[in-house]
Amino acid sequence: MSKKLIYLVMATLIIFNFLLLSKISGATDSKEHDNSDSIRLVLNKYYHSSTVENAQLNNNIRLDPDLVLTDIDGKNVKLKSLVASDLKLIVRSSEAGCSACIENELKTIEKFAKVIIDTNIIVITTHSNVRKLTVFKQTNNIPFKMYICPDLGMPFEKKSEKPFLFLLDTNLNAQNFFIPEITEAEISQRYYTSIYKRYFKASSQRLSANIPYFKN
Amino acid sequence: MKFHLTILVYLLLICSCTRTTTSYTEDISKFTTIHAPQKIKDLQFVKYSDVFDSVKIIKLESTKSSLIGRIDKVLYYDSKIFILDQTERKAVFEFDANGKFIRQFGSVGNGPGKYNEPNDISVNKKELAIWVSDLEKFVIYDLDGRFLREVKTASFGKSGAMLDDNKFAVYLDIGADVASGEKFNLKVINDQGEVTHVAFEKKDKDFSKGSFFFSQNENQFIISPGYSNNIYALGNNAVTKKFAVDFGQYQMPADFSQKFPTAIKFQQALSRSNYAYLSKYWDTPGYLVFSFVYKGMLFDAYYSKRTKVLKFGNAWFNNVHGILSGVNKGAYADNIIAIYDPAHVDSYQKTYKSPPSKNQIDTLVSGANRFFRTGGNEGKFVASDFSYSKEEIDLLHSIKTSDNPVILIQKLKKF
Repeated sequence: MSKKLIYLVMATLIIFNFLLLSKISGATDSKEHDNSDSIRLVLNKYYHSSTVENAQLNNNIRLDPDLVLTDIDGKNVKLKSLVASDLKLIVRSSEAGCSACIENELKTIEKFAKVIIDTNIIVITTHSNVRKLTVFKQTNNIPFKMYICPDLGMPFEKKSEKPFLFLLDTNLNAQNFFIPEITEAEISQRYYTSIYKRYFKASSQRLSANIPYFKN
Repeated sequence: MKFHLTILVYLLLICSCTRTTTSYTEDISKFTTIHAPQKIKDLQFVKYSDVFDSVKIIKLESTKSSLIGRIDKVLYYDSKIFILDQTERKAVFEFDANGKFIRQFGSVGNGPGKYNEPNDISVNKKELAIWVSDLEKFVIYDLDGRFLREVKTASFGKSGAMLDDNKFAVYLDIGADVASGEKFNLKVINDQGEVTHVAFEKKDKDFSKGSFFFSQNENQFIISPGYSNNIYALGNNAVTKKFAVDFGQYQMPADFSQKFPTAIKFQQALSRSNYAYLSKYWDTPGYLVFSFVYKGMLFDAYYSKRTKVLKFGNAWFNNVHGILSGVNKGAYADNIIAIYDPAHVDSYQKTYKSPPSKNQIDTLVSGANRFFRTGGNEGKFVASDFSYSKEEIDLLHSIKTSDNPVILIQKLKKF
């Protein structure tokens, strides 16, 4: 009887062993991404080279002074009238682009807006109609002025749907071109801190004491 | 002998305990093959009025609460219209048959009954289910909008449908480009989240095929695994192959995707290729209506189950100023539901002060054919025999460019 019991226990153990092995092989099939240094280096290199290239191609571009935008009420306004007196931070968003990317960036920009005042930030999208612009503003609680323009004339728009930012001066010169990355919030914060220090600090009436990123 | 028998029974019992799923029966014994079409370039489009008997225009109420960004899916069930807007408004809306806004189901947020993004919808007599991909769950509401329960699936699927109270299907669309331990693309689970059936075994080198939805017409559900050109019905315990669309010389070879190292390269090659593939599909009692893509262009096809006649259309071509046309997005009974976005309705409003004469329409058609002849589209534009009634023209003039999309209920003609 004891022999039979041993057979029984052995058979049970063998089956559980097989089950365990099959589970382990299943787990190896679904292994996570390889986080090796070489991949990180490749990504870093790609990020830096594309940043250099895009900055060279998109800085100091003069936008068309006759460019007409549509506001949220469906009225047409000239781009020139939006920068009549001050430098503005332009946030460019594409309707077909990554919605999580722009939604994420707008949250960071809202913190920045507390320092430089909402009216210095303008969001220009490619939405195909005013209803879609309204939905975008409403869904994401965007406090800034928003306009539609299918083509601003920036070279980057022709090759990518990613959101990007730049400063527009009163002569309609685009400068400080920047492409935020959803995974790199710290780089965005550095961008906002630098443009604040250089361009908005003097004119800003508010203190940035409550917002650590924008401390002097 | 008795001992060996005991061991055998014991082993069988242990093995049976480990089996949690059984494959769905993929019944391919009875299906209809639709041969379409012989030559896509020379495809003759029919008039809208050759396919539809009538078109009802429903203007959806546009208020702050009911404003829709984009309609991804529309269901018409028990005289109610259910709208899914996945990414722009991230909401599910209900309107009555006259377009009056009734309610929104759930909202964005954390916790039970909430979602980051609603990714698919299905409805039955008692409940509405929202599929939430990233949280791998169904959120279920009663038809008064009250949150009832959630069903967790532990699977990241592109689309999900509530087949009945206790049966939920998730289409995973896993490809070689997605890290996943899943072996099947279709999973059916019960309301305890237990997998009861699986189907469509994943092939190692397939790529995921992008977003799409289960197609619901009343209580029937169909699905087509991406690029297979086969359409399956989801029954009680079987996935039944119902239709196979044979594109002949344009049929994509089964191993085509395996020639490319990445999904992006595959997509680029596909858009340059000479292959056609199914895009959307709706099974109605009398017809199979489907869209297919060929060289980046969307074609509509209407197949009569009764006469086996297949007619082709394209909202852009075959409806020149007959009546508002839109993109097909849903079905109920023998009706196809299309969506018209009124962003440019003002141009129609300028044209239509009163029902146009045949002469006016003929002039528009010949103008369109002349204008687009350089693209090889001369002669393809045809005018519908529909024209607006006085009431429809009044309705047309009441639509603003900033209003919600308009629903077109197109009743299929007997052919």
